[in-house]
Order: sequence, then C-alpha cells, then structure tokens
Amino acid sequence: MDSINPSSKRKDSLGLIIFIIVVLTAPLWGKLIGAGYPDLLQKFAIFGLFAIGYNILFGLTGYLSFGHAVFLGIGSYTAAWSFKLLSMNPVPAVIFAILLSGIFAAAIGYVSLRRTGIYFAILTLAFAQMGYNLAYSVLTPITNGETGLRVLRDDPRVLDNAFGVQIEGSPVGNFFGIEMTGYSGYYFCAIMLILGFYLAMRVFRSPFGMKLVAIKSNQTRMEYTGYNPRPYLLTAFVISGMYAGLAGALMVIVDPLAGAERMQWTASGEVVLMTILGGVGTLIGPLIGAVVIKYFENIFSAINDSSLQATFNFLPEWLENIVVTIVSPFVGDGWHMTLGVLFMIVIIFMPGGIMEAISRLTAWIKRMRE
Amino acid sequence: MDSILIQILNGLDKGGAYALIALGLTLVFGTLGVVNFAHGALFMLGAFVSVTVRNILTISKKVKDESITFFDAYKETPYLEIWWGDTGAMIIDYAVPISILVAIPVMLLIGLMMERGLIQYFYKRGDADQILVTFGLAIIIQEIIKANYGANPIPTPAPDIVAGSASIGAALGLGESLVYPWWRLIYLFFSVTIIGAVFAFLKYTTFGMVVRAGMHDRETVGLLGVNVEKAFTIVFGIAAVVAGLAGTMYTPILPPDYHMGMDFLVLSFVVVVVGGMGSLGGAVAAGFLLGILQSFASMNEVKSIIPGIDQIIIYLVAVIVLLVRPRGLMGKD
Repeated sequence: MDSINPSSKRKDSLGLIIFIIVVLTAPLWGKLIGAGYPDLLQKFAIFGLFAIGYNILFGLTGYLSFGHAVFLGIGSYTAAWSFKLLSMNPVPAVIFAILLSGIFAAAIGYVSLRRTGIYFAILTLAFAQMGYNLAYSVLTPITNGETGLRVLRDDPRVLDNAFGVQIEGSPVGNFFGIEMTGYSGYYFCAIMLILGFYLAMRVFRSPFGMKLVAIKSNQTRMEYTGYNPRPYLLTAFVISGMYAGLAGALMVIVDPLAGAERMQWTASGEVVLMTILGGVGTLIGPLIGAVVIKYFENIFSAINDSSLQATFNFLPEWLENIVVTIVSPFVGDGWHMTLGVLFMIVIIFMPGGIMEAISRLTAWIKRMRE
Repeated sequence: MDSILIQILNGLDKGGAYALIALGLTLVFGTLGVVNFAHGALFMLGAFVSVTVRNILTISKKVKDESITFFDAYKETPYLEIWWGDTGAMIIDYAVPISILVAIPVMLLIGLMMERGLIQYFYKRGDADQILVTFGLAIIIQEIIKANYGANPIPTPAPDIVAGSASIGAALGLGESLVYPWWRLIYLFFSVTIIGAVFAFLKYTTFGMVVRAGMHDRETVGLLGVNVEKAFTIVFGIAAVVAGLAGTMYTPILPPDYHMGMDFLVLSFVVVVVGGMGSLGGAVAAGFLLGILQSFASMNEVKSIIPGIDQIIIYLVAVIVLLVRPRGLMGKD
C-alpha cells in the first residue's frame, strides 16, 4: 500500500513528468512492440482512462461494481447525440458525456450503495443489464437498437450551422479544425488520459482518498470514529462513473458510432480484469492492465487457423496439427476464452497483479545483491 | 379472467426456472458462503446435456430412399430407427425426458469437480475474489459451448404426445378458449416436485439436518465431530444437479444457446436478493412471484401504458425491495 501513503511531492511530480513523456511519445515506442498505429493507441488511452476511473472505486474502497459498462454506454450515446445536434467539436461531447454519466452514476450509486459486498455487485450488475435491455428495446429511438447510433451528414448540428462550420465527406470529430482521426485523435485521448491520471493522483493523495481507503480496510471502525462512509462512497462512485462516461465519449469521438454492445456485462467484467491484472489500488496498475489486455486482444484476434499453421510450420506435421488444434480455440473469435482463462489465472495465482509482481521482483533483486 | 389466469400460468413456468436456479444459489451461499457466478453456466450446461443426448440418439447414416424411384436418393436415417424401427423413433422422440436421467449423474460430477477443483480454495478469500473467479469460469464454460455447438439457438422439441396444448379452460369449467402448452404445465409440476424434494431432503434426513445446522453455525457443527466440509461438497453437487435439471427440462420452452446461462443468472441473483439472501423459502417464493410479475408486465395492455416495463420490471422490483426492505422478503437480518 506504499502508493497510497502521502509520499513526497517531488516523487509525484517526477512520476507525472515521466508519465506525460511516455504517453506523448507512445507513437514512437509503440512501433517497437508492433502497436505503432493510432487505432490501437487510442484504445490504450480510452480503456486506460476507464480502468483508472474504475480503480478509484474498486481499488480504493473495495466495492466491486459489475455494471460500469453502463456508464461507458451512456457516455457514448451522449457524445453521439452531441455530435448530431450541436457540433462535431469534441469539447461539448466530452462535457455532456461526463455530466450525464455523472448524473446516472449518482442515481445508480445512491441505490446500489445501500448494500455492500455481494449485494452491491449484484445490484450494479442488475442496473447494467437493465440499461442494456432498454437500449435494445424501448430506447431504440435514442439508441437506434442493434444497428447502433450513427452520426450522419445531414444531422441538424445547431452550433456548427450557427458558426458556419461545413462538414465535408463523412462526419468525424473536429477539434477547432483538427480532425479527430489517426494520431490527432490519439493525442486528444492522450491529453484526456494525462488529465485523468493527474486527477486520480490527486484523489489518491487527498484526505478524501485516505477516507476511501479507510472504508476498504475497516468500514465499521471508520463509522466509530464519526465518519459516515456513504457520501464518500457515493462521490467515489460518481467520479468513477464520470471517467467511464469520458471513455465512452472518446470512443465516439475517434469513431462516430455508438452501440449497445459496449454496455454488455462482458465489458463490465473486462474493466475489472484490467484493474486486477495491472494491480488493484495502485495508481498506474489499471492503465498497464488495460494496455496489456488491449495489446493481446489485438494480436490474438488477428490470428486465424492458416496463420497458426504458418507459425508452427517448423514443427513435424503431426505435432503441428496437435499444437494448432490446442491453440486455435483461444485465438481469433476465441479471444473471450483466453480472457476467461486469464481472468482465472490472475485471480488464483496473482491477486496483486502486475504491480505486485514487479515489486516482488525488485525486492528479490535487492536481496540477491546483498 | 381467462387472460389473467393464462398470465399467471405463463409466469409460473418461467418462475419455476428462476426458483430452481435461485434455490441452488441460496443453498451454495448459505452453506459454503460462496457467491457462484458460474451457477447460470450450470443451468446452461444442463440444457446442453439435452442437446447432446439428442445428437447422440440421432447419429445417422445415409440410407437409400425407396420412395423416390426416378433416381438414387439418399436420406439421413438415425441408427436407432434402422435397428429398432418404430421403437427407435420413439426413443428419439423422448430425448428430453431421457436426458434427465443422463443429466443427474453428469451434473453431479460437474458440480463435485467444480467444488473440489476450484471453489474449495476460495472459502477463505474475499467476496470479490469468489465472484471474479467464478465469473471467469462462467466465461470459459460459455466459450467452450459456443466453440462446440455454435452461437445459434438449437431447437430441442418435447415428445410428440405433449407437443400440443392442454385445454385447462374446459377442465376447470372456464371456457374452451383457455389453453396452455402441455410442456409448460409439465415444467411447472416438475419444478414444484424438485423444490419439494430438496426441501424434504433438508428437513427429514440426517444429512439435511447437518446441512441446516451447518448453515446456522458451521463451527459448532464441526466441533461436534461432523465432517461439514464433505457435507457441503455434496450440497454443491445437489445445487448443480438442480440447476442442470432446470436447464434440461427448459429446452423445449427455450431453444438453448450459449449465453442463456448468464441471462438467467442475473435474474436469479435478483430473485435471491428479493427473496432474502440465505432464505431458501424466500428464494422459491420470489422466483415464482417475479416470474408472474414479468409475465403480467409483458401483456400488451400493460406495455401500452408503460412501454418497456417487461424488460425492467424485475430489476425495478429489486430496487424497490432493497430500498424499502433491505433484507428481502423473507431474509433474516
């Protein structure tokens, strides 16, 4: 728990500067690991934000929410409607998405936080399923159901018309003249990520963050010292919901399409896995988890049977066939299977995630030196 | 009056499925203290036992079709029909009832394997870990089924003799128009029987007494020299069988697909919460109650007043219950 103790300000600023440099130079070092293209980097930043926000709730307070994907969906739909009605500028889209997901988070959180532990997880899951079902059925006029909500050329866009901004070709996000595609889209996400990370750092170091940790370690004792945990929990829930809404909005900003499938329970489960894989309750862990998962998803989904055969060509034929049959359910469409296996392995063998593995490794190296 | 009765009946069979799954969830939670997110997957596996049994029974070979004389035509004929003629055809027709006999040992085995192989290592870990590891397991089971059976629902018909509808209206003297599918009626009786059997088992056997005592105070029962651990393993097996049977019997009502487990699981959790966590009677009562409520909400008259209510009624009830009566309908504090 060293990351939560109020450490020296200088160390934090140094960490933040390194973080900013790493994020801004991502297109360069991304090339080295085969991730040097904007689509994937955007995903890193977006899901990183989602996980960082989720960690403020789950990592600090220990409340396991199983329905955070619903805020992702709300953010996406809001951003898409802001594109349709107001302007292709991402700024109002981001602002409205954060506000609206915050309002929904306040409502859902208010009800869900009346219970703890398992009940809380089930309640949030129920709310997420409710949102998902509604998006597919009654709310079709708003969500456009299974087809997904598209931003069209001849949408009203009041603000754009008022300022005489013209849309040529298919509509894409437009930040005062900069089109939100490719690397400029990534840099927009990256700036949001840096802001989100900085805010999370401030939350971690603040008295408010300390109270959240107090809830995790012993809620009863905290109540005895005279604090009512509920307002702090609700605030944490709303903050993490806003992060999710922002992530959902960014998805639409770089690719103007919102679909209900990103509200499914698997999406909620994925962000939990990212957080745990990276390291629950650490600052940078969730981002690492998100990057690792999206990176491997990208690699694994692209593999098909013929490319597998090509990879294992060097083996004798009988062995090659065996290896291909074993591996093939896990790649391509079977990525979810890999995700499930990863989920179980991480929780069974390394509940502390990558960050704990790293700190154990450094401790081990230190001991070796002495 | 007729339409109300038919809605109640409609709700009861779905409620039966909810009640059976919720019963298993509550049993496992009450004894082992584990929230099993893979319980829906057990329900789904039960349904696929029925699909598999049918597939095995209808293993076919190409036989020359004698009725077509212009050219050589072949049709797929199951071996059973080739060997035993009409008897064979009848066996295939009864695939779903036969799969019940298969499902009991298969699901018991799967349940015991799950408990011994995975769940037992998680008794001492926190709620979050238990939820997450069983969640991972549920994904894996689901993906295995998807890889082997495809993503589309597989129709699994009930035996011909009960394929039609029962004219309950005539039987009760309420008019001819009131009819109800035989199989749904059978499912309702089946679920009530299973629930009754589980309750009787817990109430009237020594083993059941140990389980009830263990649910109450595990440590003391252990100190009395009873092997609680072993009893609870068996409870997990029973819960798996109950969920599996609920799935097997449900296949003629809803063609099984790989994600049916999760769909039912979320609802069943809500059922458990509404009924009161740890209360077996509450789980059963809430299961039937919510099933009926859902079926009323999907009536066109209701939907025209509040659109979409059928999609969210169960969750709404859960929210209201948790706000007004947090321990659930029958739960103890």
